[in-house]
Amino acid sequence: MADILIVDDDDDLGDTLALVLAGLGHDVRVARDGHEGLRALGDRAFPDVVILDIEMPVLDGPGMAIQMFIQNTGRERIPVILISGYVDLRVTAERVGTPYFAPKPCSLDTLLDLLSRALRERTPPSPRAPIESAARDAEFQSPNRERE
Amino acid sequence: MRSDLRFLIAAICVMLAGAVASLAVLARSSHALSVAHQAIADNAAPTVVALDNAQARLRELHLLLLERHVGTIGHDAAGRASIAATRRDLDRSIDAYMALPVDPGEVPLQRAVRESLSEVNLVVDRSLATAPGTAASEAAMRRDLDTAMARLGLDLARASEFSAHLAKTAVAGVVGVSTTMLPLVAVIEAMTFLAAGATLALTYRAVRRAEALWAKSHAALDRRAAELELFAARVAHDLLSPLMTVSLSLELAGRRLTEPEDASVRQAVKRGTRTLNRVRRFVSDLLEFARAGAAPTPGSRARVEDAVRDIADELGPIAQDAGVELCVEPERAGHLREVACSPGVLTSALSNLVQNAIKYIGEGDVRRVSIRTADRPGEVRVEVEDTGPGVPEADRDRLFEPYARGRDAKAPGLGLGLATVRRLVESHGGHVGVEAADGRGSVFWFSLPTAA
Repeated sequence: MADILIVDDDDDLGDTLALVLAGLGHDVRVARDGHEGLRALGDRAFPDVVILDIEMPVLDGPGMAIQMFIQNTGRERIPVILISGYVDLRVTAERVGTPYFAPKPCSLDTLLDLLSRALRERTPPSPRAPIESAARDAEFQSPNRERE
Repeated sequence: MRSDLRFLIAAICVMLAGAVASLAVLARSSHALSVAHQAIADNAAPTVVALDNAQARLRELHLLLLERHVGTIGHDAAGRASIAATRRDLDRSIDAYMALPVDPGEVPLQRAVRESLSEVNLVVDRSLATAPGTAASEAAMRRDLDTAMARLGLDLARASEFSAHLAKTAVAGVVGVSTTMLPLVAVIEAMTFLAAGATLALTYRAVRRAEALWAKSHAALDRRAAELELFAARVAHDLLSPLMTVSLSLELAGRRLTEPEDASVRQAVKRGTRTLNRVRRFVSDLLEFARAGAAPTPGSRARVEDAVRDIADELGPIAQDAGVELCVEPERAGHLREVACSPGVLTSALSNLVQNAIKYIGEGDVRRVSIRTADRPGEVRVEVEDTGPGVPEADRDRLFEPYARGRDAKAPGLGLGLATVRRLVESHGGHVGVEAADGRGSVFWFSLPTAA
C-alpha cells in the first residue's frame, strides 16, 4: 500500500520492521545510516514516509532530516517518524519539527498507529533551531557491524 | 599536612608573642620617659629657672647697694624703695625655689642657701641702718656685703648645678633604657617578621594544596558523571533496539498463531511479551536512574506550567485505566515560574511522583491524585497528593533510597522511581520529601530553585 523507507543502524530491528510492514502489504526499503538513507531517497520515487532512528554512525537521524529539508527537491515534504531510545527524543522531535515519534521499544500497535497518522496527515518536518547532531561517530559503532 | 599545620600555629604564636613583647618594651620605654620628663619638667627645670632668677636679683641688689655707697643712688625714700623691692624679689625667687619638689641630695644645699640668705639679709640691714661713716668702716661694710653676697651667689650656683645634674641624669636614664631595649626590639621585630613570612608561606601552600585537591576531586566527579552519561547512552542504544526487535518478532509470531492447536504457544508468546514489557520497564527505570546523576546543564530552565500540563496529558489515560482521578489544582503563582533545570528533568521528576502515586493508590473509596505547585522564596515546590494508605513516619526516609519498595511489595518495579526523583532534584540544588496529607494519604513533594 505505502512506500516506506526505514533508516536504522540496528540490522535486526530494521529487517524485522521491514518484515512486519511488508507482511501488512507495504513496500519497504531499509538503510543503515543517514547517508545511505539519503542515497536511497535518490534511487527512485520518493517514499511516502521515512521511519528514522536518531543515533546512527556516519549521519544521524536529525542530520538526515535537515539534509532532506535543505534541498528543494520535494524530499522536504516526506513525513518522518522518529523511533529511538535517545533520551531527549521529545526535544529532538520538536527540533526536527515532526509530530510523529515514539521511544524504543515501542509496540507494534503504537508504530502502526503513527504510520497511519503520518500517511493520512502527511505533515512534513519543519526544523526550527539548528539541530545539534547527536552522532558521535567515533564512539558509536553499531553492535551489528561486528558480526561473528 | 599535619606538620604544616603545627608550623603554622607555631609561627602565629611567635607573631603574637612578638606583638606582646613589643608592647611590653614600648610600655617600659614610655614609663622611663615619663619618669624622666616628670623629673625635668616638674623639678629640675623650674629649679634652675628659680635659682637663675635669684642669682639675677642678688646681683641687682649688690649693684644697687654699690651705687648707693658710691652716691649714684640717694639715701632717700626712692632709693630705699628700689632696694626694698629688689630684696623682696630676691626673697620671692628663693621662696619659689624652696617650694619646688626637693630631691634628697638637695637638702644640704637648700640649708646652705637659707643660711647664706639670712647672712645677706643681716648685712644688708646693717648697711642700710648705718649712716655713712669713715672710709675704713665703709670699706669694712662693703667687704662684709661682698662676702655675704658672694657666698649666697655660690650656694645658689651650686644648687642650680645640682638640679642641672639631676636633669642630665634623668636624660641619661632614658637613653640608657632605649639603648638596652634597642637590640631587644630588633630581635623581637626580626622574629616577628620571620614568623609572618613563615605564616604567609605556609598558608599559601595550604591553600594551593586545598585548591589542587578540590580541582582533582571535581575533575574526578566530572569524569564519573561523563562516564555514566556515556554508559547510559550506550546501554540505551545497544539494549533498547534489540528489545524492540524481540518484541516485534514475538508480536508477529503471536499474530500468526491463529489455529486452535496453537493455543498454548500463543499463551507462551503472550507471557513472553508481558515479560519483555517488564524488562523494558526495568531498563527504562535503570537508565533514568543512571541519567539522573548527570551534572545539570548550566543555564537550563523549564516552565513548571508546561511540565504539569504535559504530565497531566500523558498520564491522564494511565490514571483512567487504573481507575484513578488525576487532577491539577487551580493555577497559583508557582505555575508561572521557571525552574533551573532542563524540561526533561522536571517532567521526569513529576512523572515519577505521579506514576508512583497512581501505583500505590490502594483500595480506598476515594482514588484521587492531585498535582499542585507553590511559589516559595527562590524556589518552586511541586506537590503530588494521593488518597492512598499513606506512609508510616518510620518508613519515610527509606522511601527515597534506591531499591526501596513500599508496603505493597507485590507491585512491580525495581523501586528506583523515588530514588531517581531524589537524584534528579538534588543534583539541581533542590529537595524532596514526603508528608502525611490532611486526612488519608500522602503528599510527595520536591522543590527546585527558580531559574535566574
